[in-house]
Amino acid sequence: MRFSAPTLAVVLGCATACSPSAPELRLPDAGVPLNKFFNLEVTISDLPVDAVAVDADMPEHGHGMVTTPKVHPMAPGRWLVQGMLFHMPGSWEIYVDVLRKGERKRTVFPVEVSAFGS
Amino acid sequence: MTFLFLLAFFPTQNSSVIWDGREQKLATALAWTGELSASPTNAFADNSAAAALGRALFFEKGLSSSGGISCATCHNPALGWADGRAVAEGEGKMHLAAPAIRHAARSRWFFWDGRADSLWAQALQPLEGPLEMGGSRVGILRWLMGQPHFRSLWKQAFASLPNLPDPLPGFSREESPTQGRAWKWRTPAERLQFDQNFVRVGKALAAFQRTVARQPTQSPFDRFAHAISKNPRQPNFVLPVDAQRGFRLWAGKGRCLSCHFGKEFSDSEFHNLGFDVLPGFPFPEGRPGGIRAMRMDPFNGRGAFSDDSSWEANEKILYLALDAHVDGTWKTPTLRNVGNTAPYMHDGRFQTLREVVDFYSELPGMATFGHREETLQPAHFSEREKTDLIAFLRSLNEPSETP
Repeated sequence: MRFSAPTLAVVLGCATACSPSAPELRLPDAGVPLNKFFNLEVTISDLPVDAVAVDADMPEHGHGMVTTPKVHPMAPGRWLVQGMLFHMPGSWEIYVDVLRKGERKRTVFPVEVSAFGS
Repeated sequence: MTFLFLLAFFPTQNSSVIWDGREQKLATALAWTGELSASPTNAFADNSAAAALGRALFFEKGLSSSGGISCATCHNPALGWADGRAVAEGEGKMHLAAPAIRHAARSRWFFWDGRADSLWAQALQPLEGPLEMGGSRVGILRWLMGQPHFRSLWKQAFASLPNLPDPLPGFSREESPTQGRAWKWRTPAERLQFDQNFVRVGKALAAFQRTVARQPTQSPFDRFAHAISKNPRQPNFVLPVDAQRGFRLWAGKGRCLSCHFGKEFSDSEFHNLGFDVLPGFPFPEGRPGGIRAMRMDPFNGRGAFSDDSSWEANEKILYLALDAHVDGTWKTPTLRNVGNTAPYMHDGRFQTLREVVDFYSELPGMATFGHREETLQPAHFSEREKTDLIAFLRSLNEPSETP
């Protein structure tokens, strides 16, 4: 299922077997849209992976999103996350959880969302 | 004499506020434009004939059970599209304030608890609400088709008149799923016929409200925002300086911008301000009840009466979360026209803007249900800050109007 929402890229480099690279969140020039749906495209080079889950919170506010995103496998090492919505401006954290052999590893991406326009 | 008058009316250049690029961007992001997002679930959303029918319906008291209540009773253009009461009064007295609907077409959800996902689905509920207009879909459609003026407007909007099933002996107006015994005696095909045409009433009302939301606003803040978006470095006297200081407070120390942003000055989402329940008021569930009601509503965007029931057109339903975070939350109201739409809050507990600002300054009390949003911290405004904030809020007022 494809929607017209903008897509942000999350790249998780190798954790063990290959040369490690820092996890990366690539944002469009306009930043994360405020109060509009967007997608995440997660790319993981260190395979295999059992499952990927994505969530987000505003730690300062003690709450998360008003949506529950869904994760769709697209191709080996690539997942599309739909239903992301940051409904308030401020400091958000995107959590990408990767499950391998029963072990969950969380990568946290801090994101600032502005009400002041891009 | 003229010089003294000018000094008294305009602030000196030293007291005016100079805006940086960030604030200029904010003002531009807040300034009113006529843009509205598409409404794919309503094929008549931008149909001018449907809007003309919707306008006539909006002001028509004949739709109510008593013949004395119209949509405009609670959403009066002369009262900022609200009713000036703490809680709404239609056929009976309710426990929630009538929201100001001048800019409702920009919302994501409707009603204080978001129980409707579209303007047209929202418009249907008060028509049959026993305390609101107390009508029934059968009675409303029959009454409309008995009025030559409405028959003409209907035909212009929808090309043909509804072919309504015959009345049941002994029942004239009281047939609806929510009231009267007669509805269950109707065949599924007959119910469908009534439902389809009832939905057209809602879609016409929505089309009218979209024309209302497109009417240019003449608020002092919008004139100011347009001016500083062109030249933020020039002292600006479109808005009194106390209101300009209030704008800066509102976006800064007051943190009002966290929820009241965008051209509607609302995130159209739901927050818990930490209110107790007023004596005599029902348990303040808020958003959870709204989500459940919206999901069960046959008139939601995914239902058979939607003009686009695809998930693509209804992603806000697809991904909607129902968890403990929404307990006791209520929709963020628009701040546009706020000085004209007292009393305030979902239960009308504050009579004046001063009471609202006093509340945010100290945040007394605690929530009966759920918990107060943690980002809310007492702002401890000074007297001058309170006055400035109120001056800014009043700058969002629009002249009363008759569409």
